[in-house]
Amino acid sequence: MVHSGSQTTRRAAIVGAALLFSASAIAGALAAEPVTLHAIFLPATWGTVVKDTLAPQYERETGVKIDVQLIGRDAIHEKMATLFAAEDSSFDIFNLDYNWIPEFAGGGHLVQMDDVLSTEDKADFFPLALRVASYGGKLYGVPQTVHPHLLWYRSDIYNDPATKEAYKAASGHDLAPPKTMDEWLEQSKFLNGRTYGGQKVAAWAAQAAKGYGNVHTWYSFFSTYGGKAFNDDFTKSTIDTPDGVAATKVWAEMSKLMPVGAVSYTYDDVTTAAQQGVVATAMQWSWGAFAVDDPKTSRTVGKWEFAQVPSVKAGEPSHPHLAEWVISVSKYSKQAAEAKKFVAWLETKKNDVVQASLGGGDPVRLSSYSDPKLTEEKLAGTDVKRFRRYSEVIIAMKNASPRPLFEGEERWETTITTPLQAVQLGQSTPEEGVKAADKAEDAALQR
Amino acid sequence: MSSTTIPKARRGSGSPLNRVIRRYGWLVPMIPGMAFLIAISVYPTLYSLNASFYRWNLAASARRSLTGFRNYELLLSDPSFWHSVVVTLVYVAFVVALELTIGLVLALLFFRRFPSDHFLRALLILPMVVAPVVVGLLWRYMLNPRFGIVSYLMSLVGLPRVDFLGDPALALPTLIVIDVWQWTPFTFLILLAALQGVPEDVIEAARIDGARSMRILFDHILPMIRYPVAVALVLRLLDAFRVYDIIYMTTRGGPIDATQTLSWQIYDLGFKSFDIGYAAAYSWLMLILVVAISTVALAILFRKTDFA
Amino acid sequence: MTEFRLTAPRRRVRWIRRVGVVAQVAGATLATLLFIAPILWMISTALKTGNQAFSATPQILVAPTFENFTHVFTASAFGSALTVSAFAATVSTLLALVIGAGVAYPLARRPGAVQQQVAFWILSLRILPPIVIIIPLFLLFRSVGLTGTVWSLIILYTFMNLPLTIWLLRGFFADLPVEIEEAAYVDGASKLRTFLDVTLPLTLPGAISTGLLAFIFAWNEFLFANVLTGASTRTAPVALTEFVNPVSIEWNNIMSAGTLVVLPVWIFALAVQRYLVRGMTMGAVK
Repeated sequence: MVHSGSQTTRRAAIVGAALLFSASAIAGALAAEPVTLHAIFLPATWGTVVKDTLAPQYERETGVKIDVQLIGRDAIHEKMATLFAAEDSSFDIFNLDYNWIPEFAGGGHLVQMDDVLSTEDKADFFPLALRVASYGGKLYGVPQTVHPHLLWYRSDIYNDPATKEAYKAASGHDLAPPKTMDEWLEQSKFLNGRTYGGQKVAAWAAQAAKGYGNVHTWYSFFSTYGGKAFNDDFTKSTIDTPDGVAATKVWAEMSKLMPVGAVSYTYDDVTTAAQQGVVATAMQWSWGAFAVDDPKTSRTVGKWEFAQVPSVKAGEPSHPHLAEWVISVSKYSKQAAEAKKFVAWLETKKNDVVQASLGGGDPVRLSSYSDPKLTEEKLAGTDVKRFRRYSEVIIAMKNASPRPLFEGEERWETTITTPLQAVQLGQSTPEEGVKAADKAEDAALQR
Repeated sequence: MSSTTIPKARRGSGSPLNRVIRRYGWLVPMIPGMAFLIAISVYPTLYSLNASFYRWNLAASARRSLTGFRNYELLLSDPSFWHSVVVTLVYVAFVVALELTIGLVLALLFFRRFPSDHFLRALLILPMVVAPVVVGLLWRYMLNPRFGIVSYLMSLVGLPRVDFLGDPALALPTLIVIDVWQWTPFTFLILLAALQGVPEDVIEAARIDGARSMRILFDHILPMIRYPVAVALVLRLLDAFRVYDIIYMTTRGGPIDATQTLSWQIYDLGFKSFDIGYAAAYSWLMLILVVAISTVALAILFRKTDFA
Repeated sequence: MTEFRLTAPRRRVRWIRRVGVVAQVAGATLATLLFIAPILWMISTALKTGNQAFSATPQILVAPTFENFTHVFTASAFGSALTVSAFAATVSTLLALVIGAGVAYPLARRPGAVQQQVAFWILSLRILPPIVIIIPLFLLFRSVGLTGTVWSLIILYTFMNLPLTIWLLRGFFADLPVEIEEAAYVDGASKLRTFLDVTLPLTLPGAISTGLLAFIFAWNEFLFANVLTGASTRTAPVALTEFVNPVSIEWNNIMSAGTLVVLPVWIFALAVQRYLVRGMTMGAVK
């Protein structure tokens, strides 16, 4: 059969139109439903870096939109529990404090993340960082930032000739960053109340507020003195031991040498105290150092140096409290695969460095600590290295002490914070305090 | 006094259906409201009552176990529970007493009109309009020993800088002051309106009889405003028991346990420790306590329950 | 009628009265200043920069800067939070008033032992600590797919305010003498007509003040909003707490956000001010 030209053209037109139509329909269908992931991050710098810089960049690169909500620590914890109890899928990705991994992973609410990291990756991350993000041998969160406790000290005070002389005269020792708790205590008693730059200083500051603040500070002392909070299967609280009492004693002594109002100090109060030059030393997260180097809010730019948390005996390591935030994916997420991809992308070698350089938390990969992009950077207009603390962080990560890794960890902190605060304020002696802590925690375990 | 009831004569006439309508028709407008209230409250009430009989961690709901009255037993023998009861009762007692008293004084002050009284009244309501979250943060800011204005003003007159919210002895009184600051305008408004409702002739009659002002106040005026006082008292009482926002923004139950009220403990247990069963038992005990106290308070105010 | 000339004793009485008024004004002004001083401080801090807000010697008089307000709007989409708050509070207040009136009116006009029990049960709903009912409420809302929407808040706030509106409106209705309504029946009006044309206008001041109180509670509510809302549906108080973050408490931003949260409600309260006092008479006084 011979088809006339117009018939062929018509057929071609119809087929062409049909193809075009279906193509646009498919494209329309695909385009109509761009993948949007919903994430909750902490409003700390590592959360804002994700929200402001990295999520938009990911969207540009892959077309996957990430909607980031920034919520406070307590609110994240509450919200996760509420959402999980209802098996709600409105949020895919959560930023967690690592001590929540046992309770949420144990409750079956998190997706396993072992396949997100390759074997190479796993070798590059701090082993401790991965360990605390795991439960039952499986990984449930990808570490985003680690920050152990460091000792912050004012180099201008410690190098001041007049101070050094006076200290030598008073104590017989040289004034140098303290290596042991006894040294630190002695130096603190000396420095407390002296005046520098027209400002009276207190010896140190650290988180001390009721809730988890004071527990986190006390924990560095407790771990350094060799204390263990629980027996092996977490059925008995074991704070009341000679080590525990010794640690609590020193912490209580030191707590008297904090600024006025320190009993309510939260993380940002410590930062402010350091920035405003109100203290001579501080025990604070390593990552927080950026705040004291910010000329807009700090009066002590470049004057802070970093060392290990003092140990018990010279030559022994200390065991600073480890803080770490990880990223997890909800089991009830309908887009778990996409979510995992995003998390993996966030913690590639490249982005680990990018996050740090943008002011996010301290890196989680050992290799990032020797990346020249970070190590060579100097503070604007000075010769002071921006990340001068990194060498200390690496040492600290070798011996850092994680919080007790069990499902009731958050509850534990809420329980012992009260008897500990009684010790802080002198209402109980350290001995009474640790006994009360054990008693309260044992009762809570029974509940 | 005129009655507010509907005379009986209207009922009882007409066909059976009409009789039913007339007898029960007045209930109809209540149906949406009652249905709504019952629907929303039934499930949470039963849920929380049920939860109180379990050992139940919110993050591990699958593993909860039925333990009967165990939570209640543990609670009643827990010293921190009784401590919370005491803290709460102290707080509520002082707060309600102070707010009613100061509110009454202010109401008496504003009772007779004077120039600019409407303007001042408009300003006076501000504290109660501010969100409790904001109130907490605002006072935390003002009471900060280092850069707070209160501390500064104290230093100007030679007083040392005091950490009001961080001192176990001062924290609860400070929270009481904050609550009084925020809610006295509420009682003030109610009492002012009530006072303005008292007829002049009652006061005049008493004055002509030669009574002094204070006696007039206590013997004649106060009894007449019993209802508004009762309403203000009950509303403030119930809200004071549930205080949470302020504590969340300032002391978080501390220092140590100085401001650990019942509602704070329930939040701590339920949301930080995820101990839902224990928290539920806590709230039921709290409910019993509040109902008991409100009943007693109302009974004292009204020797006979007359609300007509 | 002959006028008596004012004699000296009369003048003295007038003078005493004037001193009394002055004392009254002074006392009232002082009391008012004491109460609003913290709010003035909040507003002044809202107009300061970060460093000024933190300085150890509080600076009373500073050149105002509005950067905090602009920051608050741009950095955390405060505008949308205010909108959500306004919507949730307004709708829930209207619902609480209408539904509440439906319950309050019969309770007022038909007193009895059963009604008394019902009224007390309604009041007891206000005792439930939000913490305990939040989980089951969340589950409830989830089962009907309302979580994360502003409607869950509206339903919740209506529920929260109904005991308040019912109790207050009951008092206002009871306060109105039934004879006035009787007069309308006699004229042949139906019950509903009577209610709309007679009862409502006369108790309007009470209804307005009740509405204001309900609005305030809904607008300022924090706990439920914190847990129940999603990213796009957060209310103003929740948005405000974003300025309390681990790195720093941005007092100047918090104060400006706080001022913004207070303003709408206060303006509303001002507008209905004259009803507030007159309307709150709920006694058995005639």
